[in-house]
Amino acid sequence: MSSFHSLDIAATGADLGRTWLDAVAHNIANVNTVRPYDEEPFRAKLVHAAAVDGPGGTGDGVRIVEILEADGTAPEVYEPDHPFASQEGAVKRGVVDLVGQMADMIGAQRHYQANLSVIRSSREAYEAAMQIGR
Amino acid sequence: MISNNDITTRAIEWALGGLEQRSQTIADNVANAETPGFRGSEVSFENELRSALQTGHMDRTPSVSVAHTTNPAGANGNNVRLEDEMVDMIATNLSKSAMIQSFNYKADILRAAIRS
Repeated sequence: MSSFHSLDIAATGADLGRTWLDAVAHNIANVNTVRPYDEEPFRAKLVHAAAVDGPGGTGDGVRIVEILEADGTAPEVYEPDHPFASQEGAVKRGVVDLVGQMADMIGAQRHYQANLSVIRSSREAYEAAMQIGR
Repeated sequence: MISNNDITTRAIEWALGGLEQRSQTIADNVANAETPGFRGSEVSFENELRSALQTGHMDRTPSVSVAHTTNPAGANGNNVRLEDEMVDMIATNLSKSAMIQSFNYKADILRAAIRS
């Protein structure tokens, strides 16, 4: 860790925001993805994050633990003409909660912006500290 | 270092140390603003600094304490209030600038004394 610790901490938060936005973009891009009926459906990517404990009671930011996939059963629609349809004419769609993803997109964007604000503000504070004794 | 016994310098050092830790805590709270179950922290040092200044015991180690905030948690167990953190961040930066200017003022006086 550098001596400009607030910057490092805010960077972990901004990194999470960006990864989260990437996952949301991927999920929304695949909201209409259909796979053959006997294969696993597309499942939305979910980012699992956890706080990092630091020395002296101050936390050390956030880290991405793993990328999970949404569980739940894939919704099926009746489309007998579809090449990926089952014998009974059912087509399996992806497991993506579109409304939830749209809400997550706002959350991820806000999270990213907040952390960038901290980076900007920390930089100004450290620049001011360079003026000690001038 | 001007002098270890100079009260102004010691008080500024103490305050800057506490303010830097407060900045780090705010950065951590914002980084975890969306982490489920996360509880925010806050830094306090002003009361300790005030009592040290009142009793004149400025030679002891600066005391800075970190505690969890008592804000009610939201649906995902997280109790960080982003707006409060942003305001605290600005206030902390301004306090840091004030401390630095105070120190520079003190240094200017000493410089003037050396020159005369």
